[in-house]
Amino acid sequence: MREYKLVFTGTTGAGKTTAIAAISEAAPIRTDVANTDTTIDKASTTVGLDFGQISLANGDRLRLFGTPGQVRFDFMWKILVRDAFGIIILIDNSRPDPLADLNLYINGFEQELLTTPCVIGVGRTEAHSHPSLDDFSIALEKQNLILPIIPVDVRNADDVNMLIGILMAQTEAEMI
Amino acid sequence: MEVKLRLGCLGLIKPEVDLIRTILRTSSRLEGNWALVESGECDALLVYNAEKSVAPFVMKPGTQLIIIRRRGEVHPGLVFYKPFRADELVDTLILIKANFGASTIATVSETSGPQKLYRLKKWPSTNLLSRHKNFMLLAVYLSRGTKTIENLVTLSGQSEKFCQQFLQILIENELVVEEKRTVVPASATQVGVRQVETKKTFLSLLKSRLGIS
Amino acid sequence: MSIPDYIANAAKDECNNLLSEQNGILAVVIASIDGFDVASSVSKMLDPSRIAAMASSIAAIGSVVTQEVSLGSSKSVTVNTEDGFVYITYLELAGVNYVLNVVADKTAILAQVIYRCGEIGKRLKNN
Repeated sequence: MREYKLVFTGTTGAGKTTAIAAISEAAPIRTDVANTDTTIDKASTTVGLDFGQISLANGDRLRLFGTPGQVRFDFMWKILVRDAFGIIILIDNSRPDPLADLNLYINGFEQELLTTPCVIGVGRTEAHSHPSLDDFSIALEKQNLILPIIPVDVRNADDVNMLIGILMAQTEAEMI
Repeated sequence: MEVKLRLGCLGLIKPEVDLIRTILRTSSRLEGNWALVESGECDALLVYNAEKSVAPFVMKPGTQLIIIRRRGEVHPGLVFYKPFRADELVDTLILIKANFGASTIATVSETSGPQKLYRLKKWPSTNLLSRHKNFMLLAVYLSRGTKTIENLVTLSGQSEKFCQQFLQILIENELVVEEKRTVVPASATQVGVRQVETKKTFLSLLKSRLGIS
Repeated sequence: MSIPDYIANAAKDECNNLLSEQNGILAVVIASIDGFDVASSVSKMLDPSRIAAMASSIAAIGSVVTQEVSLGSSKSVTVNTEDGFVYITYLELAGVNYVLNVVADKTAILAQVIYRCGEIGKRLKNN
C-alpha cells in the first residue's frame, strides 16, 4: 500500500479546509482555534494542519493536508510539503492585495516549486474580478514561474477535482 | 486505419469474457482502439498468475500483464479487480494505450532525426485558453519541460492536427520557445520504469476515484 | 483580542521570574492559541514570536490526537531533546485559554518546571 500526499495552502479564508472537506472520504481532522487577529475577518483559524484522505481501488491512499495560512506558521509549510506530489495554492480575490498574497506562498514554497507540480486556484472572482487571472500569470512570469491559474469555488467538489486534475496532468507531462 | 490493440483474457469465465468483449466494442472512451483476441500475440493480457504459462496466448516484449485480484487485495502494477467495474477496466486500457503510443513514438524518434521541441515561456491569457476546452490541458503539458507534437498527442489524446493548431496559436502569440535537437530516448533503469509504472497506476486510479476523465 | 494591562503585566512578571529563578530555563512564552506572543521572557537568541506560533501548533495537534483517541482534552505536550526539553501547557488569562511554553536545557528538571507552570497558571487565573 502506497501513500501519496497533496498539500493545500494559501491565505486564511481562501478555502483550504473547505476544499479538503469537499473531497475527503471522511470528515477532515482540523486544528482550528479562535482567531484573535483583528485584520482577518474569520472566527477561527488553522494553527496546525487539516487532514483528509482518499482511498484508491488498489489500497493506495492519497492524504490531503491543509497548511495554516499565516506566514508565522511557515515552519508547518515546510513540514507538510515534504514528499508531496502536488501543491494547490488557494487565493481569495476579495482580499486587499491578492497578488501580494500569492507572492507569499511562491516565496514560502520556493524550493519545492522548482520540481513539485503546483496549480493556483483563485476564489471569489465573480464578485471580485481584479486582479484578473492574467495579472496573476504576469506576476508569476516576473519570478520565472509558469503555473496554471484557474478560478474556483472550493465548496464545489468538481472545482477541487479540476485542480487535482491539473496537478495530475503536470505529473504525467513529467513522466514522458 | 489504425491497428487495434489486442486484449487477451486468461482464467475468466465465459460470461466475464463476453462482458469484456462488449465493453471493448461499445465504450466511447476506448474509441474502438481495443479488440479481444482468444489466442496468439496480444498487447495486454488479463491473467491470475504471471509465472505460469500463458498459452494459447503469446507474450511479446511490450505485452502488459494485468493481474486479476479480488477487491481489497493489494498488488503492485496494473490490476484487474473482481468484482470488476467497467470504468476501471477502461481506465487501465487507456493507460496501456497511452504508454504503448509513447514507446512506439520513441522508436520513430530514434530514426527520424532532429525533432522540434516546444516549451511554454509564458502562461497563455484566459482569452486564449477559453477558445477551446482542451487548450488548457495542452498548456499544462507544455509548461512542464519540452515536448514534441507527438508527446502532446500521447498525453492529451487529441489529434496531431489539433495539437499543431494550438502550437501555431502559441507561436503567433510568442508564448512558446522552440528548440530543435535530436531526441535521445532516456535509458530507463528497471527501478525507474517500475516507479513510473507505479505512478501511472496511481494517477489512473485517482482519476477513476474522483471521476476525472 | 486584548487582555487587561494588569493581567498582561502579571503574566510578564511570571515569565521573568521563572526564567531567572529556575535553573536551565532558556525561554518562557505565553501565546494566544492562534500563535501570537502575549508575554515572554527569553535568555538566548530566541524569537518569542516564532516560539509562540510553534507552541500553538504543537498544542493544537496534541489536542487533536487526544480527541481522536478519546482520551479527553490535552493538558500538556513535552518534547524531549538531546540537550533539554520543551514543555507546553495551557493556562487561563481573563477567562480565556492561552498556551504556556517553556524551553529548557538539560540542567533544568522537568518535574520542577511542570510544578512551577501549574503554580503560575493558578496565580494568573485568580488575577
